[in-house]
Order: sequence, then C-alpha cells, then structure tokens
Amino acid sequence: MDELELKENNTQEIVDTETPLDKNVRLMSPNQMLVRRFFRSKLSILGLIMVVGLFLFCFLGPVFYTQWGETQLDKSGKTEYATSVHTYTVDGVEYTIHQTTETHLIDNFLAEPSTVHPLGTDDQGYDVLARLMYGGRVSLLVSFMTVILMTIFGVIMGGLSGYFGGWVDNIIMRVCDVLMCLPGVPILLILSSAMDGWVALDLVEEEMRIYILMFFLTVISWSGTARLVRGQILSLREQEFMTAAEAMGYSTARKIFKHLIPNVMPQLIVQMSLSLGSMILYEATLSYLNMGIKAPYTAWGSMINIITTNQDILQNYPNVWVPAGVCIVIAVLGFNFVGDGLRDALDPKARR
Amino acid sequence: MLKYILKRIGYSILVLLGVSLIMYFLVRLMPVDYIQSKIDQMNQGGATVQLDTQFAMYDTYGLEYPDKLIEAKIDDLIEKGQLDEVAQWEAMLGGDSGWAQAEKIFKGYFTWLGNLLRLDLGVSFKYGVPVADKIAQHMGTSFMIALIATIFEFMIAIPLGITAATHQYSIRDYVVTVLVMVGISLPSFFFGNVLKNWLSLQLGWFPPQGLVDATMSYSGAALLLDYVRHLFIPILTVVILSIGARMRMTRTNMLEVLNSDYIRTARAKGLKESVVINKHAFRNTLIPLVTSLAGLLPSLFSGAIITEQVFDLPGIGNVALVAMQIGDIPFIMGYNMFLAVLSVIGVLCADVMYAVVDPRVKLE
Amino acid sequence: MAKEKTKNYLSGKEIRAISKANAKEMKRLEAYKNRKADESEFLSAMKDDENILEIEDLHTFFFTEQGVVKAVNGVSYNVPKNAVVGVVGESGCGKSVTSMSVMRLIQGPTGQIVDGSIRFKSSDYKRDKKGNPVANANGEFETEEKVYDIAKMPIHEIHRIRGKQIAMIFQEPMTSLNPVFTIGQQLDEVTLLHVPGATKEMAKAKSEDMLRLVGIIPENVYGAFPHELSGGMRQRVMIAMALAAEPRLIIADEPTTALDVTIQAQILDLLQDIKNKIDGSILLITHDLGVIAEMADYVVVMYAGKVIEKGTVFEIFQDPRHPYTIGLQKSKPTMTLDDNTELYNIPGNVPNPINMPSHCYFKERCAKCTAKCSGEYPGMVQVSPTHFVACHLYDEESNNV
Repeated sequence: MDELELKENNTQEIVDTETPLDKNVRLMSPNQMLVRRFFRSKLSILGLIMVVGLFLFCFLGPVFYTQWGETQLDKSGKTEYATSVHTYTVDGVEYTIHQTTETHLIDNFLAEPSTVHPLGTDDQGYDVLARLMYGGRVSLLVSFMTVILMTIFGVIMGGLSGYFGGWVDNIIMRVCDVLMCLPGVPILLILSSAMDGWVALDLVEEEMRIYILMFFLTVISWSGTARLVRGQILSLREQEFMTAAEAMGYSTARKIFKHLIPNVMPQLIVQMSLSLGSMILYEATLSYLNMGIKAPYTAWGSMINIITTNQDILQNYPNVWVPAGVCIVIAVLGFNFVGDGLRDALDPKARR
Repeated sequence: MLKYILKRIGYSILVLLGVSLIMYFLVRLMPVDYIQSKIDQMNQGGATVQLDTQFAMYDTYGLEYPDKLIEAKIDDLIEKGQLDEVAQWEAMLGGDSGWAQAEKIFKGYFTWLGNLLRLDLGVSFKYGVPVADKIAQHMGTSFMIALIATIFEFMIAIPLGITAATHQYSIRDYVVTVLVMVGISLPSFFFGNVLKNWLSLQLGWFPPQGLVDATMSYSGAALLLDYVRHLFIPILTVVILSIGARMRMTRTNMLEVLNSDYIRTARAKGLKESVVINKHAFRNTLIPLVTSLAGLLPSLFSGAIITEQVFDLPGIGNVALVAMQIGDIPFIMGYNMFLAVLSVIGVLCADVMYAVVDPRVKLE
Repeated sequence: MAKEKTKNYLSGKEIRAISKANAKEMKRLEAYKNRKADESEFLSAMKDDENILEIEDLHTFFFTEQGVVKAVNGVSYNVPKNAVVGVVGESGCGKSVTSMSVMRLIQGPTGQIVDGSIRFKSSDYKRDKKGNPVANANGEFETEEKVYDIAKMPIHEIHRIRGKQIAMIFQEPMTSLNPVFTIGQQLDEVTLLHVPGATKEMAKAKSEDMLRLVGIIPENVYGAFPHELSGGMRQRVMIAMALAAEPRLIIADEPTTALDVTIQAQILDLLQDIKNKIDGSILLITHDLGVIAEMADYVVVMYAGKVIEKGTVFEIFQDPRHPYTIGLQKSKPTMTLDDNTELYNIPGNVPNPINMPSHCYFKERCAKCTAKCSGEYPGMVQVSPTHFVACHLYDEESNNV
C-alpha cells in the first residue's frame, strides 16, 4: 500500500502545548456545518438560484420591463391576409382568380416574438413576458401565503394536541383523520363552483376568489403539519430538558414557545419548503382549469388554460403557453431542491 | 387480526361520516341561485326544463324551493285552474331565517345519507343517469390506465432506486436524484400537453386524444392496437410523473436498510455483496414498497383528473371534472364519497399488508 | 469574542481545504479497495508461525468534514493460535475499529484503511479459478493454508475470509439479526455458503447442533423470527451463527455490553465454554476489565488509537506498567475498599482524535508525567519477553522495539 502521505492542509496546527488535548481541535460551528452541508449538494445551489431568480423576475422584472403592463392590450393593430383561389370555366377557357382579403384588426394578438414583444402576444393581444411576471406574482404570493398560514395553523393545532394530550389530542387527531380523507383537487373544484355563484351574487370580489380558494386549501391541509408537530412534541416531552423546564416552574406558553417550537423548527422549515412546491402545483392546476384568478388578471396556470380550448395555439404558438409552464417547473423544482438540501443539512443522521 | 380489521372498518365508517358531512356542507355552500342558473343554462340550451323537473331537482337533494320558483308554480296552478292547491304552495313562501336554513341542510344531509344507505346515490344532473351507474361505466378506463402505469412505475422505479442507493454519491445516484425531482415537480397538465404537442401533433406518431379512433371500426387485435396507440402518451405521462416519488421512496428505504446492523452481519457471514443486496437488503426494502402498493390499489379506480382531461379520455376523472365544473351536486357527492371510501380502504389495505410482509407487525 | 470564535472554529477556507484533500484521499483509497488484483498481490507470510493473526502498524482513518479522524493510528498486536486475546480501552479508543478493519467492515468512502498490514493465516479448501472448492480423487475436499494480507485485499475478495475464516459477534444483538428471516434461515445460510456440497438437510442439522451448543433448544427457536427472542437469546444465536462455519478466529466485539448483568454472565460462561470446545482463537473486545481477567490469555490496552501496553493477562493485572493501565485498574470499584475512600478516576477526557500532538497522548492526564513526556511519542519498550509498554518511564529498562 502507498506510503501514508497526508497533505499539510489536511491536518491542523496545534495551537499550543498547554491546551488540553480534548479541546485543542477546532471544529465547524453548527451554522458552518449547516451551510456546508447545504451547499455541498450542487442541486441545493441550483434550487436556490432558481427560486431567487424567479422572485427577482416576478417582483423586480416589471420595474425594468415597463413597455407593457399586465392588462395592457397591444392596440397597434394587425393585418391578416387570407388568400383564396377560384377557378371558373367560361366557354372552355379556364380562368383562375387569386383573391386576397386584407383584414385590419385592432388588437395585435398572437404576434410572433420580436423586439417589441420578446415572447410575443397571446390570443387577446397581451404581452406574454409582462403577463409572465405579473402572473408569477400571483402564483408565488398565493403559495407563500398558503404555506405560512398552513404552518401557523398546523403548529398551533399540533402544539395543542401534543402538549395537552387527552381529549384535546383526541378531537384534533380525529379531525385530522377526516381531513386527510378529503380529496384535495375535487374539494377545490367544488368550492370554485360555489364561488362562481357567490361572485354572481356579488358576495365575493372576482379578484379575491383565488385567495379565498387558497384559504380553504389551508383549512383542509394543515393536518400534515399538525401531525408532524404533535409527533415531535410527544417525543420531546419525554426528554430531560422538558422535565428541567417543568422543575423550573416555567409557564406553559414559555415551555411551548421557548423550548418545544425551536426544536421542531428544522423539520418545519423543511416541510414548508417542500409544501411550497406542491402549493404552486395546486394553484397552477386550479388556474389551468380556469378555477383560479379570472381575466383580465392572470397567473401562470391561467396562461396555459387557453390550450384546453384552442388546439391551434397548442400546436403553433408555443410561445404563448410554454414559458408559463417552464416557470411553474422552475419554481416547483427550485423549492424541492432547496427543501431536499435543507433536509439533508438539518438531518443529524445524514452523515457523509 | 379479524377483530382488528372489524374495528378499523368501524372507525373508517365514522371517518367517512365526518367526510360526508363536511362535503355536504361544502356542496351546500353553492347558493341555491346557482342551481337556478344551471336550469337557466339548460333552458338556453334549447330543452325547456319543466317546472316539475325543477322541483324534482331541488327535491332530490333536499334543497328548499326558492320563492321565485314557488311563485312560478302558483302562477302555473292559477293558469291551470287548480286553485285548491294554491294555498298549500303559498304556505311554503318565506321562512328564510338562519335556523330554518340550517335545519333544512341537516334534513337534506340525512335524506342523502338515507338514500346512500339504500345504495342510492341519486341521479346525475348532467348525465341524467344514476350516479353509481355512471361511475361504474367509466371506472374501467381509468383503472386500465392506472394499472398499466402503476406496473411500469414499480418496474422502473424499484431497480433504479436500488442502484442509486447501492451506488450512493455516484453519477448514477445523481442522475436518479435529478430524475426524482423532475418527476415530482412537473405539473401534469403542462407535461401532458407538451408530450401531446410533441409526440402527436408535431411528430404525428400517436393520436392526440380519445380512447379509440371514432372513424374506424376495429375489432380484435386491431382494436387492441388502436387502444395502445391512444393510451401510449397518457400512460407515459402518468408513469413519468409518478415514478419520482416511488424512486425516492425506494432509495431512502434502501439506504436506511444498508446502514443497518443486520446488513453488517450478513456481510460478516461472508455473503457476496450481490447476495447481501438482493436477498437481505431487498427483502427489507420490499416491506414499505409492498405496503404502499396495497395502499395504492384502491386509488387505481379514482381516475387521473388532469391527465384524462388533457387527453380527453372517457375516464372517471374527466367525467367528474365536467360534473364539478357545472356543479352537478349528486355526482359530486357520489364521486367524492367514492374517493373517500377508496382512500379509507387504501389505508386499511396498507395496514393489513404491512402485517403480512413484516413478521414483526401483528395487528391488534 | 470574535477572536475566540476564530480560535475555536474552523474558517471557511480551512473547511474547503479539508474537504478537497479528503475527496482526493477517499477517491484514491476507494480505487485501491475496488481494484482488481491477482492473489499473489495479497499473499504474505507470518512473522511468527505460532500466530494466527498479526496486525502491524495499522492505520484506519475516517475522512470527516471536520478533519481526518485517526481512529486507529499505528496499532500492532498478534493473536496466537488457540488463545484468547482481550483488547481493552475506553470508548472511542479504536478497539472496535481495529476489529472492523480485520473484517474489512469499515464503512466507505469515509472510513478507510490507510496503511499497515493485517496478516491472517487462513485454512481454506483448495479452490479452482472461479473460487469453487475442488474435490480430490476420493471426492474429499482438501484444505490448504495460506497467509493473506487482509489490508491489501481488494474488497470483492474478502468473502474468502469473512464468515468461514473469521467470524464476528457484534455488540447489538437486538438489531444484528435480519428481522424478516427466521433464525433457521439465517443459520442455514452460513453452512450452505461455506460447506462445499451442503444440502438443506445438512444445514438444518448443523444449525440445530450449533443452537444446542449455545444452550438453546432448537425446536423452539429454529423457526422463530428474531423479534420473538430476548436479547440474550439473540446473542446466543449470533454466537451459534459465528460458530457454524468453524472459523479459526472469532472476533467478539463487546458481546455483552448491550445485555443486562445476569445475561452478561451467562453469555460469558458460554464463551468460556466454547473457548475450550473449539479449535480456534478468540479476539475479545471490551471495556470491562473483569471480563478480560476472566477470559483472556493476552491483553492489549489501547488508548486514543494506539496500543499503549500489551502482555499476558498476568503481566497486565499483576504488573501493570503504563500509568493509564494502572489508573484503569485503580478505577475499578472493589468490595474490599474502605467505605470512605473515594473511587479513583483518571482526570480529564479522551483526546479528540482529529488533531493529535506528537507527544504522548496521555501526558496531561498522567500523574507521573516527566519533562521527557513533552518530547516525541514514546516507542514500545519491552519489559519482559511478552510484555510491552509505550511510556517514557521505562525507556531505560530495556531496548526499544
């Protein structure tokens, strides 16, 4: 076997001979370890770039790209030419007439990508790039709000359940069982139909429907978080530091918020970043089914909705719908990469 | 074991009651006027909806008649000269207090529940046939797609997941991890449409939608081939979308098993690495996989809503989507309860299967 | 504050340097481990023919992101034929890692044997090129002795050694048996694997014999799953499994640590009993001096990845030389002590194995420390034909080895 040859930078200098041997070593600080573990995976870095990039694109993009607004139609007009050929036979002589019809339209819809419209315009005459930025705001905002609400609700319910146990735990967990059995997309579709009625009755603002829908999504999807928190708290409650807190006579609130919640944080953060991805998918699916935000406003999913009715656009104008799909994929992929990276970084068992 | 299963079934029935109650209330969130607007739509569609049919629609779902409809009925009665019935209808006008509403919703729920116990899910608004018949009619297509997709999913995901785990941190592992992530991140409606556009509209290899070619009348092998041609892209979509999660599950489990003490024992016995992995580790990795497969079985019947919509397949998901978009209350209730029952059975199947494959687990 | 921080924690630059150097080393060592090699490359010869295992200057390192952990740092000891060698030391002193190195069970790519040799005298059936045993004209399988250097073996050749030549009993009987196979299946596997031409019936008979040998009634246990047995029973099964292939060396890695006291005694009795019945050696790893005193013929004392003293059991217990060995024995509670005397403990902690100085590792915990101790690490001093100690106190007594 090769001679033992370890590079100098692989070992550290001894600080001095007086330092006790079990203290003379310099290790990574816990934060360093976390950062190091997170950035060790190229995928987490890629995910972070994707997420940050999308945020900049959606929230800072419109500041620089001011030519077109979200609801601004391109009224520059469009001329369509239709040619038809007619053949007549008069007295044995064949005449061919080439007829060209010129139509002047007000809206410049389905324009090819050009310097004026980098991604062209859609079937209405809206600028695709601008809609992509504004639509992204809706998609990202809605998913963020949903996840944060869901987490807060889940933490409270799970915390109550795990901390108090007994009948509180029983009731909350049974409600969770029921909620887990509710089919997600169908429920949202029902609510969306109901919302149509409410909008018709002027009970609800049209623009608010997506937010209300996502609020309902929160109401039915907190059970996962609650279970996570409850499980963690049940196992933490048995540990010595909780006995110590008990012995110190801390108040219940202090015990929960100062001692229990910080211990659940790592798992919560991981779960939040992973659910962000799935919430974006939910929102996009709803919008795609035209159950989300309605025209003239848009979201990424809504921008793809057009291809359900218009096969011509599906086939010949990918610039109208593909960018929105790519944005959704980047967003979900980004959050999943980051979530996975965080899980690896925060998992004490994951050692390399 | 039997006792455990019976207990679980009893508990599941309670959960299902809760689910149905929530669902019913959600459905009733749809304002009554919404049903009226549906009737209006039907009227616009050409077919005039008879007054009695309208009453029947409200009746069937235990909804109260709106005043407007009752007034119309009174007018109708007066027109027909059946004046003796008018007073009886007039008595029904009004009574819009909150308590009365809530009472009616509860009453409606118990009517629906009673019908359900008689295995009567009602008649679909949209399709005009009993909901149960409609579900049964379209279940087969969804099941075939899901079954074939699931078989492929397991066949591809398990070997890939295992090699990723046994070659941890290698290029292979990296590729599988990326595939996993892409698989769980793709939105089905987008990916389905991309495949549809590319493979069928651009390249023309496969028909873009439907289950059979309506212009031809195939039979035998030709019919089968036609099915295959139509279902290729939908199944491909479902497989690619679902494979990621399965691969990740396999990989995570395999890694956990490979780090366990009994694998070290197996190695210490002198077994070759291939035997250690394919016998000792694989048998343990199989436990959660088989369990998840059992849990999956019932959901094979539930249909893939989006995929079926994208490829316009006559599956249960697509049928339900249309029903939900127009607010076909009996169908919505029927379909969603069907889903809830399937998921409850799935959990039960997974539990039972767990006890079958893992000798450590005893159901009690 | 800021200064203290930089002193106690690694800087980002250092972290990157460590991980870069680690990656390179691990890649090189993994490639070495997985290489294809002809048998001649790892054939060797014993220094003393009476030994069955000779560990010489073994270095096993773990390349962690915090730095290189030198878990085993130049360990040498021998296991003679038909003897019990006890290895004793505190947790984390490298005694288990040494035994894992012998079995080549160190988890890569982090853990690697970096240097040294592990010579083992194997007695295996004559095999053809494919590794199948060949029978002679009478249909019998002949054995031949070969000395392998286990440290130099490619990892895919290691099945020549594991199980058949060296068997191992692990610390955690609760988790060391595969939960989805019955005891019988797991025991039969050993016979089917290592005995040429074994049939299922033969394997079953052999397994039942082995179970009887470890004091279990086979009828109750053969078809049982591991979770149906208690910890003590499982450890017996592990011992039976180790014995099934009649290995020349059994490594028992803290076989009684995870068991409660009464069961510990039973398992020790069993090992004692087996020691007399089998034709082989036992390498017993433990932190319990009592166990060593009862079982071992030779004792190796390890501290922080190095052997600090070795000798026969009498020499170590009657005439301990190294201050650490002396301290260890003093810290054993005994009934004869006066009630008022406080139990002795060695001050300080085990050093962190990432960053070792060049002087004696025990220096600052040592009561007999001299000026010389700040110098270089003490060499092995021979104080009797079988007794060696690594301490500057005895530098004059004999010549360094």
